Amino acid sequence: MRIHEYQSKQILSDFGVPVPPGKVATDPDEAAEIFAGLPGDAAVVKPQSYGFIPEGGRGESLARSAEEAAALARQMIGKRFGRDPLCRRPVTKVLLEQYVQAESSLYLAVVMDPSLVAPVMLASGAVPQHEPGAMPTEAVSREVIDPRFGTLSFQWRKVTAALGLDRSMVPQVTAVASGLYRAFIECECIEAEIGELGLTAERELVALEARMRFDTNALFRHHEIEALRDPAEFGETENTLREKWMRYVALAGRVGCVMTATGSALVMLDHLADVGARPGGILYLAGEESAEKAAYGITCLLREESFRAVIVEVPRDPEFAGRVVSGIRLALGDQATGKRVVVLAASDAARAAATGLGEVTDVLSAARSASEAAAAVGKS
Amino acid sequence: MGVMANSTTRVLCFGTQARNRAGCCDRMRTAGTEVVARVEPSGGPASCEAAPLYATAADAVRETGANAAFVDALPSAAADAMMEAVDAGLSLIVCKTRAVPARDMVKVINYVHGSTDLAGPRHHEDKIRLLGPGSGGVITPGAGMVGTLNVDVFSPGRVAIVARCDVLAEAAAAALTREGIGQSSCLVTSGALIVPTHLVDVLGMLEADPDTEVIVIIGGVGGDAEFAAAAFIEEAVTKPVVAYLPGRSAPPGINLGAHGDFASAKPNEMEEKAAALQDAGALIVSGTEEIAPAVAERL
Repeated sequence: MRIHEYQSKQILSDFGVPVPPGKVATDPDEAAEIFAGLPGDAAVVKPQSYGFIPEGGRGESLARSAEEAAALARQMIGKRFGRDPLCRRPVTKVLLEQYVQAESSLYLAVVMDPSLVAPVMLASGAVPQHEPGAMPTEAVSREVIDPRFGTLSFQWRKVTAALGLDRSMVPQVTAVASGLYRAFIECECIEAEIGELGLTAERELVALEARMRFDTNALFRHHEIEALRDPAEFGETENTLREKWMRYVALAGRVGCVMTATGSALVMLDHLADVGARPGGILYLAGEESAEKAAYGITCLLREESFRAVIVEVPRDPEFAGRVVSGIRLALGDQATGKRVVVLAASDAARAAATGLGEVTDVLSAARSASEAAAAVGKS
Repeated sequence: MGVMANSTTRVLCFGTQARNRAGCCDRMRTAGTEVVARVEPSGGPASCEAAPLYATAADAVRETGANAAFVDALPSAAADAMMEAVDAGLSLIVCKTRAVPARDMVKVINYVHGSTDLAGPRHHEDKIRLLGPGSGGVITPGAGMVGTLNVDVFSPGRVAIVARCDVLAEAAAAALTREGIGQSSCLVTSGALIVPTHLVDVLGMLEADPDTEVIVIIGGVGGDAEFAAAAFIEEAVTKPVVAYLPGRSAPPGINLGAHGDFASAKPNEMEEKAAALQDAGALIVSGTEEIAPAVAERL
């Protein structure tokens, strides 16, 4: 799960990491007001969007007056950022924070390393080049933290050296790095990154750029993190489905997919790509889902305006297959969708459950494999 | 005799959260494995009447001779159940529970290592095999199963399947069975972020398994399990390997998992994995329907 930069900075600040004073504005007037209240004579204005990835000044700008701050906010609000603008939502908030003049920019992050089964602290004396939104793979030093012992004192001296700083900076680095690590552990992050750690002329460290990602599986014990989720960052379909605790992955294409397992979704995506169709979203039905809930999910996808077709997978388990087929019946029963609906029944058990569905409506196509389903949908 | 599961396997169940609670036990019994006991982690409701309930796993093992664990507890209790199974001396653990927090899996894996590396009350003679989280388990058709795989699609034979996802493992098995090709064993690892048993851990067992002639690998996005497997195949696998790697069109950086956090794809990841496996001598196929003909040629 992602959150906004201002929320990440608030969490880091709670764990003792210095961040510049700042506030969030939702309109230009508020931005001007916040500017007037900030210390210093300049402020950085940053769009707050999950899709926005700062890349050295693009999208974030310096304001030297309240008017400039308002003008920048006006430009940014409503804009869409991200790799795939179709599934990125328009910006609704901007962060204004005091401009901090940094002598140099450092990099510090903690990530969970799946192959080591341990958190790793990444440190570098310069901001490394890396894929937007991903962690750098090179040019950073890696300090592995043994989860049985947590961080050990000597590791802060190693991290200080990796940041290219001398021994006098060990106390400041310890404060920042241990705060970052504790935030990572206590909030159950997958990644916590200070993408730009500024070193000021006064030899102070300030987190100028921060990003945190959380383990979705652990949210059941972190309601405070769950509460940070911004519905404005998701489409209506995604929000409606989340209300019923259904898992939906929004993508940028025009074919909705209702799947029962990650594996079958991967296969479906490959076959859609083969015919030149693009998936617009994947809804997963869990094995214990009722027919009514399956119908609710399928209906949500049928109502999604950007979709032209919906593929529904009927699983192999006979009982589950029965509930999914009832779900399809319920969803199609009371409405004309105008969308092509493809029922993918790849196994004998699934085909047995889906028998008779063809009588319900003429928008249905039956497919015996993912490639047939993709062919029935055709090119987007 | 089969890898991991056979007719001498006696299963202890930890919690059952699925709607079809007794169904899991029935499937294992149909496959030939006795479900001998159950334990309800965190004092949950006594939900399944299919096996006698014990207060602790240690009691259950002492009284029933259970030698494998099947964990289907709630995500909040799954890690504790896995560690209790280790503590009770069980060396095969299948975790069906999906969406187990990463921090909990880190704890479980460290606990497993601690119990095999150090002699002591938790000392294990066998290496602990932990499949999951989110694993359908392991089956040796005709002999036994620990997990929830669909028994009907399997038939006894000489082809081993190892997959990251139970649905694709079943699809491959069904395709093989349809062509009259039986399976020696089928194992499902995990698509999660933090995984205790990877492809490569299983490949060594299959290479050593006298009942296996051909190995089918079904990979997935994220992680480096397939690269490690490729290196291992090059070095230590003499049996023919057929690999299917779905997910080449998965958009990079997006978590596509059905349940909670799941490894996401990197750009060109599947092409690179396919190339690595191909260089190691594996035959790459591009769909489950191509698996059976490819295997038939190599038997």
